[in-house]
Amino acid sequence: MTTDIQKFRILIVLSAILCLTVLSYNILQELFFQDLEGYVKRRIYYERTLSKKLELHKGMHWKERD
Amino acid sequence: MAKRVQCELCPTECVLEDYQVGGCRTRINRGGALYSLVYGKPCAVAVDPIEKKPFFHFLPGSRAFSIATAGCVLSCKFCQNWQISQASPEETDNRNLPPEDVVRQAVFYNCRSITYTYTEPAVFFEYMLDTAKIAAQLRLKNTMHSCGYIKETPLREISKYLDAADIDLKAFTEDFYSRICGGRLRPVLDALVVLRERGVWLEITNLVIPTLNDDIRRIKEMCGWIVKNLGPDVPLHFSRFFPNYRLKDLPPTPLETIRDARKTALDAGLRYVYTGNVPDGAENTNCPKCGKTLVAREGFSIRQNDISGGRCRHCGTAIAGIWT
Repeated sequence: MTTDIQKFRILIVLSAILCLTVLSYNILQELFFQDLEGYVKRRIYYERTLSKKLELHKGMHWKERD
Repeated sequence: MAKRVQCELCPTECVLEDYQVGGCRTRINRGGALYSLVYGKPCAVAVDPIEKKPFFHFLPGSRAFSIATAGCVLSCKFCQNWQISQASPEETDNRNLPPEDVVRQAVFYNCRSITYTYTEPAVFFEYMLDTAKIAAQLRLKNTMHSCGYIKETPLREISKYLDAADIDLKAFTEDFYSRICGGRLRPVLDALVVLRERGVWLEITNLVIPTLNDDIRRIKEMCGWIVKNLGPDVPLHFSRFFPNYRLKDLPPTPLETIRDARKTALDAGLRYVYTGNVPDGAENTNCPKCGKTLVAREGFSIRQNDISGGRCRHCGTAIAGIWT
């Protein structure tokens, strides 16, 4: 039989894990998975439609952006 | 994911994520580099009289081999070619016509020029540039009909090969360009000045739309700006609007409005002002000095041409234009 203090400790640990998980997800999404849904949609459209009908030709007058 | 890129072709300057297509629908970021989707893939190809572009002071009576791809940098609600300008290239029926074949066909059909037109040639910049280079080597002229919404650097680059340009100056207010076209006026005015400076033969077209850009005071301001910044010899074509695309609820431009616009332009000092889409409109070129009709036109046909050596055959006044 677990005491109240043990139950409370389990609750604290689980809560901390949950908070860390949520924080990690938000940070990872911000850094690496921005607009993941949009990227997937664009990629699918490109592979299914654009690449089959059109060809790529090197463009002029552009620059890289951070 | 790959890096973002920023297109620097038109003043919109789209910033594109990986696999994202630009607002013009013809350029894509693929793996951190920008590519054209329309190179060598025109959806409109035709042989037209040069007067149809409209060019009235450039090789009259000659044929222009005209090409366009899908896409446009603007989204004008009155666009007369909206079926292709507002379409994406994957939606249009495209031909495979590389630059050398464009030139080959232009020669085959006895065209003296190649015109980049119908939609907005800026969106197929690379295709236009490569074609123009080959055409110039074979002494074919290069002309374009554009909205002028292109940045200075690419404009200067293409103007090395351009002999003439007809620019749509759609209105003389930022509000019109923003609300009706999705763009800005200032870059178009800048483009006109650059073309003039580069020695490209310039003609201007203005579609007069009732209630939107038919204010005679604005037309007067526009004409004053043209005279001051481009000179009184730039031909100005006023064209009559007919309901189309997203402006089907407006009436056609009253004939009186077109005539008033022309009179305003002549009063402002412009020497060559024409009207289009108008029955018995002002389509003839008259000598600004002696007033005699030099080039008589009926539709797109030339009935009479009394310009000799670039001068009025009657009084010898130099008539601005490229006549041979």
